[in-house]
Amino acid sequence: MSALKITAEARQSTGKGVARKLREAGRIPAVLYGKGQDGVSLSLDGYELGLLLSKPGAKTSVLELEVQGGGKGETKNVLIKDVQKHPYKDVVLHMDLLEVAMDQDISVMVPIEIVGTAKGVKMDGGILEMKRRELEIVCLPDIIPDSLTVDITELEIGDNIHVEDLKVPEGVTIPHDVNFTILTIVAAAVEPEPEEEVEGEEVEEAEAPEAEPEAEPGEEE
Amino acid sequence: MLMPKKVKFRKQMRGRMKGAATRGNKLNFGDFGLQAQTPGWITSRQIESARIAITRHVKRGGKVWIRIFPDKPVTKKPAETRMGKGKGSPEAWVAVVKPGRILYELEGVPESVAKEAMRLASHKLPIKTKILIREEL
Repeated sequence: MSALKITAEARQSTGKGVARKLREAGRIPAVLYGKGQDGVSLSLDGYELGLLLSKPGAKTSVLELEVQGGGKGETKNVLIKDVQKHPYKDVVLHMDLLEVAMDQDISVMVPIEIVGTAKGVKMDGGILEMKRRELEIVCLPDIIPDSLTVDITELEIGDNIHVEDLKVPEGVTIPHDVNFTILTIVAAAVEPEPEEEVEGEEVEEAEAPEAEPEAEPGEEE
Repeated sequence: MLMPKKVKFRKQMRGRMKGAATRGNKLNFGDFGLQAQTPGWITSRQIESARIAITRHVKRGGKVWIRIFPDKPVTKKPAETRMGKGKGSPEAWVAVVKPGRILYELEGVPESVAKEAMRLASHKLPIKTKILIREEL
């Protein structure tokens, strides 16, 4: 798969007023930083960024960032470190980009992907409970997997998947000391019968069977 | 119904509900959520009513999280009382909700069931809401 690309413009001015004007103009303020270098303020095209973020694996793969402006067009390998979104509108407010060296291991959060439906869920009505949806991995930037897949088809109620049960691709390590639980299949909690609506019916039903047993002994006598 | 076990002061001032929720505005537990779009006070009765609507619709299976807690006492003066003579007595417990706040989360049910359950719950609440679905990979 070819690397995803994004273009950015360098900007000199900073601050919330500048950021607001950029957003009004359809651009998203961003910052680029990396080991041993100062942060660089950028702006990204909002539409282009929306398309990029909608692609699978965009948040975990290395992007080719072309920085325009400032007299030189540089291409850098970056990872999306953080995406700030509006609290309730589907709008990106700001983005952090991390420049990575392709020959050094980096630590990234990778989502966990579930494959199949567990026996305990399908047959016994259990619930799949995800304890962790992302996991930190350490690897070279060019082999970051889009996701870590977990096959759960054989799991029954009470079974768990822990970090050590995961099959990670070659060259990828999970730096956890603790063997965290990733997911578990739990029995569905039985909700008590609704009372308010059925109360009237229950009373009627409860009275009817009581009347019959009383009548029966009378008949026998 | 939800209410605090004990409080330091029985009555509170009303306060303002400016801005958006900076915390509790992301799906943290389930795959589906109900998010507030407008500010408002949600009483413990409304919270319970919406919870019942969700659990009844999903029937067996599914897990529900309530992400708000009514920790603010609201007072009311008795009917046909002249003004003055102090603040009224505590009447209800409310949760102060700002836009963006996740109210309920749901997991372990198909999308169509979750959407309908959240729709039913939204009709029990005094604010506008939006149904959220966890982003795919």
